Amino acid sequence: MTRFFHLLLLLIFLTACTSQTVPGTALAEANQLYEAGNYADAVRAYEALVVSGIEDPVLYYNLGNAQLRLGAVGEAIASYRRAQRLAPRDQEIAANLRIARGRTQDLIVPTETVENSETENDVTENGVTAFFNGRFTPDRWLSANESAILALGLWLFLGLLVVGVRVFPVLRPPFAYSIGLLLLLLVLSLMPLAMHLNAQRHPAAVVITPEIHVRSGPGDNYLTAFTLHDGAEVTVLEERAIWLRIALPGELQGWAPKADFVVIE
Amino acid sequence: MICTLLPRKRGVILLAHLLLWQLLWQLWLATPGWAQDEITFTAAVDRTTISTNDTVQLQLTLAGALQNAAQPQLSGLLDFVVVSSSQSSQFQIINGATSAQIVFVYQLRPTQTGVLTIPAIAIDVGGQMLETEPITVEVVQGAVAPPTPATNDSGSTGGQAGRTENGELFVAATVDNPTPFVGEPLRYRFRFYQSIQLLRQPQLDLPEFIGFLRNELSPATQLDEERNGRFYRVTEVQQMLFPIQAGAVTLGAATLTIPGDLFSRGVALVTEPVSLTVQPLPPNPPAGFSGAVGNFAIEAWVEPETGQVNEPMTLFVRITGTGHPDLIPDPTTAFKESGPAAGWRVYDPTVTVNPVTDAGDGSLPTVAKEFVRPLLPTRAGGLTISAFTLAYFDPQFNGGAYRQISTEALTITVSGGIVDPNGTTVDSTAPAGIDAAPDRSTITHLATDIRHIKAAPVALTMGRVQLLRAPLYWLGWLLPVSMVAGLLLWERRQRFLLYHADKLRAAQAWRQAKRRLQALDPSAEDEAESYQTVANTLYDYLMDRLGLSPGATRTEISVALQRAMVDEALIARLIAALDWADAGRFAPGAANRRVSELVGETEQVLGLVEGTIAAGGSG
Repeated sequence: MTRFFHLLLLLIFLTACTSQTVPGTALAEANQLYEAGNYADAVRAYEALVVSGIEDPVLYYNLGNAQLRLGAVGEAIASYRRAQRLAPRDQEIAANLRIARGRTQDLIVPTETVENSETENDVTENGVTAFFNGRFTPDRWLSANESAILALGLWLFLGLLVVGVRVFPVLRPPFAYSIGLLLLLLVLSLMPLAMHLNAQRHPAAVVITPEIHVRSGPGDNYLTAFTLHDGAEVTVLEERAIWLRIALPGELQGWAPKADFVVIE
Repeated sequence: MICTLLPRKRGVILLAHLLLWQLLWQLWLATPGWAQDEITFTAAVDRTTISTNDTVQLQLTLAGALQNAAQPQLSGLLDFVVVSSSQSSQFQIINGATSAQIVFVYQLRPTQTGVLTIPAIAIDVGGQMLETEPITVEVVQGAVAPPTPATNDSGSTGGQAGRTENGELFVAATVDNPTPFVGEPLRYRFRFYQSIQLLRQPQLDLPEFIGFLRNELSPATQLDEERNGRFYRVTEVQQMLFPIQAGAVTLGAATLTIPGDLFSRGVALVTEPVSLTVQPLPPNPPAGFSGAVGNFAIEAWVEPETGQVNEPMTLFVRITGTGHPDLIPDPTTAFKESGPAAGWRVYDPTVTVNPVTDAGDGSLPTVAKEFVRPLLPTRAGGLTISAFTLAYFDPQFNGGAYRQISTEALTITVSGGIVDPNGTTVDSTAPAGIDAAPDRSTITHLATDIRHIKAAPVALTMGRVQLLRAPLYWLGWLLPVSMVAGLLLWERRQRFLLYHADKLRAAQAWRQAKRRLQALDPSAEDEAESYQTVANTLYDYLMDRLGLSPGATRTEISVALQRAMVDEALIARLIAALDWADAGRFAPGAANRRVSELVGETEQVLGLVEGTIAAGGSG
């Protein structure tokens, strides 16, 4: 029985940790194009790497930079957000995302993002100050996999502790408090997990065309409820054929063609 | 007899105590004059008209009780300030009549002019509250004629204020200078004149000397004096006073209380208040003057006389004079600021004040105040310590004038350190100073741009697994649940096994027997042991499966097997196997058959018996 549990644990963590790697030389070549000022070719080179299956925050970040240099604000925001999903604590990604958002035409009050700061110094705020500044969102500090591992790890540890306390009654007094603390930590760790799960169910998307009409139904014959511009960030509620039902903070929602968006998976 | 008395012993003792106290109480009540005395509490003042500079003496007399009397409650006395207080008690028996009283004497200073009221004063006597009558006192501005001496009343504490009736005891208070300057020392003398021997030690209450600094002098002195043909023993107490504010000031009365005894009353002798006119200091004091008044001398020195760089030295500055030490300032304060420039590191001082020295020749007592500062020379050479100055006011100089005294500047030779190219000896150990950069300014943000791309890492991640979409991940959440559930089940089984051990043994009897038989090596050389094993297996099986006790007889075994619905033939075979095993144990050679046959037979028989019992009937 014990062996079975060990095996199961090993499988889970191996699954989590198993990721192939490729040499970084391909990215270095694309970087050279960027640094030579050849942003269009750099974008193509970065996108080729993305298509090949590479999922690395550095790749998405550099791609975002190249896209922003070309003026593709929406695509740049999408790339930065993909990078941020993989490396939520990276300050460079957060800084450039902030700048890119500043270039958008639509002023949308963010709910899951850090507000635009007045100075670059805000980039260095830590989780504590962000919390008290009202800008704490757990998914900004832990990636999806990190949240998943943290929550599961705490849950496993809690289980071991309960078993240990029952098997060795002498441990009961000191560990009783640990169990309470672990429960609290577990509850807290479920927050980012829940946010990531929600993000999977309702992914974010970014407008990549200069202007789109968001309609009241999935068709061009429906009324235009509002318009959005390049770089506007929305939440996808539903997908039907070529249409997406999107929502903004507040009560604004509607339908728009899928081709006008980049969905951040 | 004793045993019957012992339990009652405590009760008898208690009863005896009660009777004794009751007897004493009756005696106390029966004594004439004690219980019948009425308790009275009265108030009286020595005069009803005073000035703002005067004090009025309030006398509270509690007559008829000495025990259980608290202090009078003066919290309602809003128009007066209590300058001093004293207390005395008397008890006497005259012609069988007893009298007791406590006298409280207070010197009160008015806080305003007008017709003021000393309210009713309350006192708690053994739970009984008594009050005096209110008394009005008129307070006018300026001086009022001193009161006439109080006459002797029954129940009062004595004759004239300050002296007894026949003059055998009296007190006096004087100062040597009724017109001092602010801060100028003056000597206050209290004298107690006695021409009779006292049996009790008197108690002196000096006034509070509000508005004065004070230096205590040596303990009381005694001398003899003749007055009006009578010899007095004089006890003198002196205080050095230093007025701190100008104007008309009155020193309150001093009270000397002589306790009474069985043969005489107690006495409280009170001096007259002493009026002074304090002169203000002349205007335009010199720089550095901070209130020192008197005659002073100042000296300064350093120990050791020569020093080494960064080796500690000590600066001493001593001021000796007739003024109050609190009014003598620290002359080394400026040196702490100027010292570093002169090559000194100056530390905070330790200040000591030596006790007042009274020469006893009538001259003013002197006090020495010493300032000790640790020093550290920071460079070599001849370092200078500038002169220390004291500015003070000397009342005796030219009718009162400001003066200034100084020490000599000190030059201390300090060796050590290194010589720089200019030939100057500098400190070798002190690091060069680090100054703040000049012309600092804030940074101007000229432009905003995105941050540069990141360098390519050594390896890029490909196909990152998303745990939240991996079924195996969610399976992992079941792990702890499974662990705890498994643990609970296991605990339940253990409890079951614990409380049903016999059932467990019964359930495992056939398996155990079979295992033992199969593990047996029939070809082993020691046949007796093999037979023993078979026999033990049979007996163990029967005990566990049928619940038989060890050593059960053949008959008991048969009966138990019959109860278990095993048929007779099988029972006979089993008994035969038992006999066979026993025979083999005790006489291996006589068993006449091989062990392996016995093992086979035993296994077969036990299997059939087990099958029958498990089926619940004959097989």
